[in-house]
Amino acid sequence: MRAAGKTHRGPVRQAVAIAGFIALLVVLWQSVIWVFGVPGYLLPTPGEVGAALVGQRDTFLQHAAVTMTEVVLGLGAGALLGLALAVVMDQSPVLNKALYVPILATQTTPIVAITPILIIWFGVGLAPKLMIIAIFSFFPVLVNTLAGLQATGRQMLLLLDSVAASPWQVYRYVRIPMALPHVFAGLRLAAAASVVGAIVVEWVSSTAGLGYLLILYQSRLNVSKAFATLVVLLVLGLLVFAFFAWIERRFSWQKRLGMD
Amino acid sequence: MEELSAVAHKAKRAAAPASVRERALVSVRGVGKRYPLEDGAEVDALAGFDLDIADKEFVSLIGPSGCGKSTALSIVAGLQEPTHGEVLIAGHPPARARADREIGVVFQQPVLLPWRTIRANCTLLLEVAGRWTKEAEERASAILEIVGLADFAERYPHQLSGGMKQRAAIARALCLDPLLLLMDEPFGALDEFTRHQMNIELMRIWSRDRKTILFVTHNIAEAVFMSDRVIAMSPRPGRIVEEITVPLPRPRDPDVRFTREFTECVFHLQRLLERDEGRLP
Ligand SMILES: Nc1ncnc2c1ncn2[C@@H]1O[C@H](COP(=O)(O)OP(=O)(O)OP(=O)(O)O)[C@@H](O)[C@H]1O
Ligand SMILES: [Mg+2]
Repeated sequence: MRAAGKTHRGPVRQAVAIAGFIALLVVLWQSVIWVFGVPGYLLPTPGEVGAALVGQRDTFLQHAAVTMTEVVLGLGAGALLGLALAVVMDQSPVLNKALYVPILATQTTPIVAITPILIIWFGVGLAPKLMIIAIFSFFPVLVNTLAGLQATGRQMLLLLDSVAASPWQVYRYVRIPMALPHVFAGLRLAAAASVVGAIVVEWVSSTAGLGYLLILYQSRLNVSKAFATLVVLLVLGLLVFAFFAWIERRFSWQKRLGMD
Repeated sequence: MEELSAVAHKAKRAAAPASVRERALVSVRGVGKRYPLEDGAEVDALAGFDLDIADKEFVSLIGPSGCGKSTALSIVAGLQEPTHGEVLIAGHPPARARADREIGVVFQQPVLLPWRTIRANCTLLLEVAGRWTKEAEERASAILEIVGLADFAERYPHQLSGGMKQRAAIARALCLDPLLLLMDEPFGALDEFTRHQMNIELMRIWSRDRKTILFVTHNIAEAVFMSDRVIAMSPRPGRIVEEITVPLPRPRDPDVRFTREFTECVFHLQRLLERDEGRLP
């Protein structure tokens, strides 16, 4: 029962710690402005940013919704792609070798550079955006899931073979549960990557979204609104992250048994 | 009339080997295993391996590291194909026995699934075999009782000691209620004291359930204490060098280890293996 108490107290404690850290940051920020007399066009005060957030809240909510939609769909597609590729590459050593280099290429190519090309090919709609976000997010899911699927020891596989278990049974009873902690680690990384991906896409081409707002406010030298956008972006990233942390707490046997 | 006698004759011929196999549950004939190495060379892990194991017999394989004990065991289980020869279990290839879930294996490591309780680990293979019934569940409870894990059935593997985990692995094999138990150094990772406890426990289980057991070990005393027959092997190529029938009566008391017959048996095997390694003339 002590373990259960700990898992309930964990998130609360974490929230308090985060709030404390933010408060400290705000105080520091304000003091820097006072002590060094930083002009407002370089660094707005926390008050100004707060005022921008409240004053423009409809704009921010509207654009945050656009970005959030892109992140959710792009990350979903990326995660599914990563999981599917992991299973395929796990099943077939030939495909594993064949796909290795092309997959690595998607990660070593500067995505910012090919984004305009994709937009020329697929238009300015949602499709190229989701594609870019998926490219950002499938890789950590793939790498971690593949490692997880191969984490089952040889003797466990022999044991299952000794009762003539089918390949599907081996997946179902052993290899998939064994892979889960790895999959969760991959999803957490993918979540962070997908937010970055969404912003990159919106910078290159978009008429909506937080990335677009950021560019817009910067070009107008509206520093406090640009900072406010960053704050919204930060919150959005944390939300996505918190969602996956919740999923993991709910479904990971490692977390359940307090083994990580 | 002639036709009839021909049929009778045929039937008789077919019956003869079957009656031999009735005695020998496991029959290994001229089995060899050759592994290819990276540099193109080959290694004979096993050569000309013949072994018959009678129903309900306890046979141990001993020998120095690398003499092919594990290889022999996994070929008997059908987990590997031999390069030469054949294995029959109750007159059929091992694949049949595996499909019928008549083989239970135990390794040196317990290989339990960390997310399953001890009870759920023990029923894992039953679930895979589609044999997870109410009776099977009751049987699992009874077996956990026998191996002394009844109070730990709902715990997880990481909460158990090494010896307890190994007992769980044995319980998992017993839950299948197999004809044949194949054990590859099941107590190799345990300390001497726990190992002895486990020997006594396995003896108890074996005399109750009367399984046929093929047991691999490095430990000569352990082999002599438990077995009806001990097979000594020697490496490169892995082959049988001697086979002794243990002259100790059953049931065996732990104190049998201090008798003269026991000591002689152990000493004889010890000399044999050491001579084989070239340490003695
Ligand atoms: N997959 C493999 N590929 C190549 N060689 C192998 C393979 N498995 C075993 N061998 C070789 O076969 C020989 C017998 O190995 P095996 O594992 O059966 O020995 P063992 O008697 O069980 O040894 P130990 O007591 O150390 O467990 C060894 O020389 C080993 O190097
Ligand atoms: Mg071995």
